[in-house]
Amino acid sequence: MSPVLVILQKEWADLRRHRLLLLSMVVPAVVFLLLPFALVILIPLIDPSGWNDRNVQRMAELLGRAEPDLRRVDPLLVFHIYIFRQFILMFLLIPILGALSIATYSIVGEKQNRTLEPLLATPIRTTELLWGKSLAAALPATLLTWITFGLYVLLMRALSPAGVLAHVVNPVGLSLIFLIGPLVAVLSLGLGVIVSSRAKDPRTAQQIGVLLILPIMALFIMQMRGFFLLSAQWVWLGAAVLLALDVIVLKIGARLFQRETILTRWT
Amino acid sequence: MITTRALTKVYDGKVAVEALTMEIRSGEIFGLLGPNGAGKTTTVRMLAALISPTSGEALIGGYRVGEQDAAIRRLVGIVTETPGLYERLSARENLEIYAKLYGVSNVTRQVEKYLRLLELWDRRDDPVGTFSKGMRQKLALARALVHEPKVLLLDEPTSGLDPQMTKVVRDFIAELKEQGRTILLCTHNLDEAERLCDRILVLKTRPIALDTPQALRRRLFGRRIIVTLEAVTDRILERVRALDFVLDVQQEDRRLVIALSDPERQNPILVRALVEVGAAIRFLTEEAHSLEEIYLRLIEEEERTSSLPSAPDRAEAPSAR
Ligand SMILES: Nc1ncnc2c1ncn2[C@@H]1O[C@H](COP(=O)(O)OP(=O)(O)O)[C@@H](O)[C@H]1O
Ligand SMILES: [Mg+2]
Repeated sequence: MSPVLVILQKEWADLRRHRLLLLSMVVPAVVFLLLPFALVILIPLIDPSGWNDRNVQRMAELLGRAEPDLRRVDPLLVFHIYIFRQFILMFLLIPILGALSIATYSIVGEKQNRTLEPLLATPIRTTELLWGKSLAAALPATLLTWITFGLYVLLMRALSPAGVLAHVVNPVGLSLIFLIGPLVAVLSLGLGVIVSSRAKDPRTAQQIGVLLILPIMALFIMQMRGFFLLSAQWVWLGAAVLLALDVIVLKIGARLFQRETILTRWT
Repeated sequence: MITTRALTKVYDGKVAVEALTMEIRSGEIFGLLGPNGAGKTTTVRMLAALISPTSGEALIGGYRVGEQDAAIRRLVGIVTETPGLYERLSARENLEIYAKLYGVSNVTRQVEKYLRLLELWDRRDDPVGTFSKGMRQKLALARALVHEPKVLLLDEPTSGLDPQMTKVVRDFIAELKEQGRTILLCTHNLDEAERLCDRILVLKTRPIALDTPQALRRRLFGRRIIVTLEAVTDRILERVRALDFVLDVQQEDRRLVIALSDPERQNPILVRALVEVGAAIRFLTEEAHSLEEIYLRLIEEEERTSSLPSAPDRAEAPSAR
């Protein structure tokens, strides 16, 4: 069996028994999944006229300009589309947080338990170890994102007015989930690897996540205020930038992942 | 099996191991004895191809550290200073990971063999987090053996264990030697080194002495015998002093402590002389030194010589050959 697979298997066996870590991944996913439904149902109930505020109107205008068929639809439908699109951005926090948690727990955990020395005494290559750990973090985080999105689509189909789904599950939405999602997962785990080499406990290491969460939140708020509407071109440009960052971060990680460095410099 | 020549490791300007030259023979238990910070773990890590020597060289089974590391890793099993086990995984899972990483052909059989041998079979599916210190250490030993290495590096394998578990682990190490494995045993426990090791290298950054436990004793203290008499008189003392082969005599109450160069040949002559002057001999024994005394003396000597402002005689300090 390839050493990468052995590590992957081991990491998942460990993850399965780490309830708290699993919970810390699943709970935000469930919240992001249900919150938009709560919002589109509750806001019009609580404030029957106020929901159609300036932000929503500006968004309707932007949407209308980008997608002409939305120009004459019911403002309430636009409101739904707007909220559901916004939350796709929030979904990007799932791979970021998930990959970061798994990577930092697995690396800092091995440091704390001093399991790295016997592991490095085996014939495994350090690149294989890094690959195993990276896949162990990126795959579940990405998978969770996709499952959440799948449920989102099913719920929208069941609960939302006709027409919403088609305007949410569009090229922008799909590329955010299926392209940007894995790319931010890799970036997040890469940063996790780098800070874990220095950090004494996983929580400290996870503070690096702010670097990724802040830009997503900025996008979320800017789009909410109607400053712009994320277009496919922007998403692809973002993907290109992320890909470059991923390569850089993984290269730095691989440089830190040397036997001697791990044993003598990772305090 | 293991050869090092002028092996040296410097961490950021701090010398951890200096000019270590030694030859560990196939099938022997070789002790690396030294206080904390002496460089034992650093040496083990170099021999396991985990860190690279700053200078000098090391060969394990003919493979050179730094060049044929993958081959060395397959040949060597290591028990690290801390067991380093995956706490949430079971004993069996822990071993399986290692068996697979070492490319063992029959993983299930090897894992079962060592779990049974170390009496962990009944607890095989329990998470290691629930294990006692002794059980963890046994599992660490099993892990080091799962790929049947010819060379074992044991870094303080009994430290922190209770006396009973210490005995279990020591007996097990002795068994491993019977199987023909070459063992490097790091310890700061003199008793352990003396019981288990064929030869001991006293290390304190630099090698201080290398020999069998018995020879180390002799070399440092010469050989002395203790004669207990009914009474010690001046006449007896004079007579003993007059013997040309007697190197030194000291009286301690009713006992004479006599330094000899060759007690096996000289004792009969000495006894005859004593009887001639009317000494009534109650006991005659050879003075036994614990390794501890030897060790402390070696360390003291080392500190004295290395603390000299300009240590011109550094090279004259007893060194390993
Ligand atoms: N990673 C490291 N960085 C710097 N110094 C180290 C490192 N590891 C060990 N040392 C130093 O090297 C010396 C030898 O340490 P070590 O090999 O652990 O000794 P021992 O195992 O005999 O207690 C000590 O002085 C220790 O402080
Ligand atoms: Mg040590």
